[in-house]
Amino acid sequence: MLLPDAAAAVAALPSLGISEELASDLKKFLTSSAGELKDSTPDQTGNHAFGTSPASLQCASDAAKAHTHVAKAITDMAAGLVGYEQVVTDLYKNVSQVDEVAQADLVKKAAQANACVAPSFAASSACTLPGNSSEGD
Amino acid sequence: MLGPKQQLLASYLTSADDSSLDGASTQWKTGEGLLRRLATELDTKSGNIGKDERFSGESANAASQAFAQSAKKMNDRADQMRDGSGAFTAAAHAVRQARKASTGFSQHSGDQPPQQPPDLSDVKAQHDWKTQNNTFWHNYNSREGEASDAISALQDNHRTQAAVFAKIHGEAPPTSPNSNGGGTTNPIRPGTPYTPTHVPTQGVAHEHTTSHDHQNTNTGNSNHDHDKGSDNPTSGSHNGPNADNGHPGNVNPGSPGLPQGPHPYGTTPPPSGPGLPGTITPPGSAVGGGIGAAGGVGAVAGGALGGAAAAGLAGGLTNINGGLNGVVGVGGIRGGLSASGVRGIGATSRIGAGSVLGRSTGATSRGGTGGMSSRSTGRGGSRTAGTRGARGRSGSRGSGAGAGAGRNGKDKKRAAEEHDLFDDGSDWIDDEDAAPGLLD
Repeated sequence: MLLPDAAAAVAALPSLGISEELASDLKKFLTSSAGELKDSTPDQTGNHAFGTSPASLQCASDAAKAHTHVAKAITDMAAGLVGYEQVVTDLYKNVSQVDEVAQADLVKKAAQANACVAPSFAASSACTLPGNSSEGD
Repeated sequence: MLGPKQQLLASYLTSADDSSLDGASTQWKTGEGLLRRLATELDTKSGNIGKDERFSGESANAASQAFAQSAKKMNDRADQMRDGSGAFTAAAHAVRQARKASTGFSQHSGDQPPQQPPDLSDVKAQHDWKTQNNTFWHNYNSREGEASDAISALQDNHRTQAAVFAKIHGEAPPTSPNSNGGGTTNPIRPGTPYTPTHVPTQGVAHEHTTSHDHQNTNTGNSNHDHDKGSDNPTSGSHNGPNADNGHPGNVNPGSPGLPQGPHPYGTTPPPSGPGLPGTITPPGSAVGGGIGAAGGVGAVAGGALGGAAAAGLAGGLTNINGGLNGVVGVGGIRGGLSASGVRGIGATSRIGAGSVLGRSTGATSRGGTGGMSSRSTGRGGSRTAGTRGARGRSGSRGSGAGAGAGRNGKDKKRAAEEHDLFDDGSDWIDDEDAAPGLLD
């Protein structure tokens, strides 16, 4: 499942100088991996895919938790890309007309987009942009 | 015939799906690659923003720095996904290795110990049977050892992979009140004072487990080692009266172990109980419980029969022992009877019967050791009945000798532990000079 805004961001990437090949990969990634990570897990590998020894069950539990964190992080990254798309759009706008308020707003948007890329999978989501992983909670 | 460890390994792998784990690994690997490439592109764009005349000033710098920072973080996330992918792959490999071993064991699931020829006078047939029997149990124990190793390897591997995933998710491990570091819970520790509360309902069966012939002790030995990963709290139920909860009895009544002693298992190891995953009770632990049981039986026998009856029982057992020895020709029943009879009587005299019979009761119980009768004779004549009655400690000593008679070399370590288990701190009783004012 790919969020509409995320799709728009991906579509806008070539205009930012990002290659179409990468844009295509990103779209595929966001469509399959991100969506899959977000909507599946922790059952994706099966609760008992590791086996049922005590250590195996613990491993399955940790893998499921890790998978969940990764899925959220990927979702936030997608939201961050949307934020970056807006940042670049604003930069284009500011080329001809620089406004202090608009500039401050752009800096803020850039920080928000960057915050959507987690410092680690273990970190709590700091993404406040639309489509972030906490919105469904 | 699959031993407990082999069954446990098979049960661990029933639902394991290495292909699913491989699939997850591939997915994480794909994610890693895409994140890595995205990070590279973002970093490149970060530099381009600063070079482009259209993008300049504070806003452009802020955007450029944000791109660069995000690129760095994406690279780090890619590293974590790479680690996760590797963990899935390694876990799948461990499952395959364990399954390979388990499949090999399953080929012997139909194996049964050879039947002892009924004609005990046929020396060659008996010898051949003995050889085949020893070979069977040797192979059985080898497979049990391999199964134990396979379980350990599987669990060690998955612990390692779990640590990788735990590092990724960063959540604190749940605390369990029953967690004791992965070991089995055992309410009876070496040195725990002996009390009659350890008396199991089937203690005699355990007692004879320690006095089996070679093939039988092998069976016990193979199960002594506790799976270090069996941190299931329920596995602590192997002590005392619960020791036989998962043992429906002898699965092979015709097994050649039966003639050697009245124990219910014969040469067939106790089958594992229900709920194998994490709850199987290692028969080895049942042996430990059995020793406690033996002492308990002694205590009960003593309390019920009194010193005189106990003395008579000992004599009777001695006769039986001699009679059976001629038929059986192996040490199983000798050791078993010696252990049970002597232990019981000894405990009896200690508890109180000795106050009636005096030292002579204790002397009778010491008879099991084969070396104490002279001592008892000497002391019996000089002591008054009432004062020497508390000398029941000799019974415990007799039981130790009986149990020891049935052991082979492999059980020495276990015997030491069991000794500790029985070491009820009664040396002060045994030491005749320790407290003369009290005892005399």
